Amino acid sequence: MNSLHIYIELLGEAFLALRDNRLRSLLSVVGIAIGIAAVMTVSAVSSGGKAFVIKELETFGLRSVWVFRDYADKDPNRRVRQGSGLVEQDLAILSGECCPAVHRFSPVSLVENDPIIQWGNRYSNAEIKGVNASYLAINNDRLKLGRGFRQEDIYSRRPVVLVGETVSKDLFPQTGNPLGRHFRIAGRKYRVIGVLQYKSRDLLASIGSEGGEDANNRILLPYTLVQQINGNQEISYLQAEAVSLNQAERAAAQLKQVLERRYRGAYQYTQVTLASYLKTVDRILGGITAMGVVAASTSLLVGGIGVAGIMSTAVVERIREIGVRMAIGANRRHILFQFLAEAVLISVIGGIAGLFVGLLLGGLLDLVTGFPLIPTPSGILTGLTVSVLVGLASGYYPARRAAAFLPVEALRRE
Amino acid sequence: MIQIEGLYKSYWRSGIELVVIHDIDLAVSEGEFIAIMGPSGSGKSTLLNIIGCLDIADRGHYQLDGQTVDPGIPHHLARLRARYIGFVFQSFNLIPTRSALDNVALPLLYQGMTRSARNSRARSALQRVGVTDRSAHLPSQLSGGQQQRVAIARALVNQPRLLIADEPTGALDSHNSSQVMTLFRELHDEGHTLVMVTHDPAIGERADRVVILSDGAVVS
Ligand SMILES: Nc1ncnc2c1ncn2[C@@H]1O[C@H](COP(=O)(O)OP(=O)(O)OP(=O)(O)O)[C@@H](O)[C@H]1O
Ligand SMILES: [Mg+2]
Repeated sequence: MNSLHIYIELLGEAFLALRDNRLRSLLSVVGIAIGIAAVMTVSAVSSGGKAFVIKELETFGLRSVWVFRDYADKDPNRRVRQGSGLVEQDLAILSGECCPAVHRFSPVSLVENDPIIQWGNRYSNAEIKGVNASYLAINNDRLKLGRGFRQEDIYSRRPVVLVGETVSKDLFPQTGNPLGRHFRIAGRKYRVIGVLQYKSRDLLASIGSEGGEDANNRILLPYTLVQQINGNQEISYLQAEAVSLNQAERAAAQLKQVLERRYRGAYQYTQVTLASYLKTVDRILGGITAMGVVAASTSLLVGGIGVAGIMSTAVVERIREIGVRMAIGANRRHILFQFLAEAVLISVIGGIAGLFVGLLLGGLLDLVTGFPLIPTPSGILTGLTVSVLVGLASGYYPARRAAAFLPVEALRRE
Repeated sequence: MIQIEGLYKSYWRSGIELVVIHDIDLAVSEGEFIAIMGPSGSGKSTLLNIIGCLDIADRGHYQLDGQTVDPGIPHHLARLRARYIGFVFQSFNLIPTRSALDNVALPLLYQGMTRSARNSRARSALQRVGVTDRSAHLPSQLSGGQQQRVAIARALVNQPRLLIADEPTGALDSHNSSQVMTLFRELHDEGHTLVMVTHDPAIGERADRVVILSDGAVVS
């Protein structure tokens, strides 16, 4: 208790010493602050970047997997049938207990010839997809207006459609609400039963990976109607939802295996999962973060070396004071603690300043670029812990040197 | 109070041994005022620092107030300094960035005393040496005599039984010297044990006993 009180008072002594050397203390505080702010910003950029990418990938449904025929990879000795490699009859098998990792799936049929989409003298260049009742949930689509497909819509081939916002604007510009309106695809009339909610894919659009596909310029039909338009029973590809994100590869593999067995290798299939994209994103961001952290840590290291230098100078300059303190009753531990406390104070003050600068910088970047920087509580805690550790590490040797003097030696120095 | 037997200390410089304290025996009883005199380089300061537990001897036996001083245990030396000994230096050795009051109160911090208790004790110590009106001043704002009196107050604030002073008047003019000496005399009269190194024979005369060193040995 008594000795705890001494150490609390020594903390005060350390603070006074810093105040006596204001400019110098400030400079070393700045050194640490820059380092901590850099580390903070880098880690915030990486977590913000990931959140940014995930937000866009979510518009495909994170657990989505795709299976489609691989045209490139065929056995030259075998005669392969023409077609997409997927037909109506396959669905019954896939719906069975073949694929425990698959939560649900939807066949997707694309229209083979570009049909004219028209209402009066207005036209749309939307992309048409034939899907089933599960598709909206799998693809993480929500409805702004109306309802989605029901089983009966699919089986009874009802001429009903869901449209994206762009389609709605192109065909029905004067009315806000297109529900119940009709338009024509390849001459046949369809009724709008729902409008899809707007989907933002700014990052992907800017990268151009989707080749200009616009999520808001889509028309969804019961796939059975697309088959009717095409005049066959084919399905272009399957989009399924895995039971969980880390089951995605397995879900795709299970679907693929069932199909390949069914056709005894006549068709080969390719699988694509968002999970694997996520892994790639993680790897890239992890690499960028690691490099950034190394660079930022270097600046923190420089800050720490600065503190060590300042403390070494302080020990040399105040060696007489050290001797006096020893003469009037300080023991080695008291001296060690006081100088260590000075170093830790410098770097903790620097750490707190750095956190604020980091937050400010993150906020500014977010404002300017819209790129969210997320400083996590654990990141902030890490920043503070690191600054305490930097203080201890950089103060340890100077403080130990200060404490190791024989009082008479310290008093003799000028 | 002080019991020294066969004290020996030397420095080695380029292979040559320079004996600084040569088998000194010395006894100082409680309440005694001892002056150590002798030519420059004779080892006076070294002996005084060993007595004050600021320095350590190579050999010999030292008892302070019946306790054997173990030169190998730094924290033991620190505890003895804190509990028994007050130091007065020729060059005052006040901490330049702290007020007179803070300087005087500092020894009590290492005893674990609260700030208010420290300050009230420090104030009465300053009163004892007669510099109450300068307690908020920095050392650089005080005269040499005032600085030395603040330093004496700092040495006294622990109420040490042993006061140790190495040429305490060495940096002072005759007026301030005699003021400081009067103070020491009074402290002696109050029962403090005093060991003082001095070059001034007039001061030596005021001590109970003069120990004369020459080449690290007691000659009288
Ligand atoms: N750290 C050291 N290294 C080497 N020699 C030293 C050291 N400290 C003291 N000495 C030597 O020890 C001898 C005694 O020194 P000390 O300071 O005790 O003398 P002194 O009697 O106090 O002299 P003065 O009257 O000049 O103060 C001197 O010759 C000095 O050079
Ligand atoms: Mg001397």
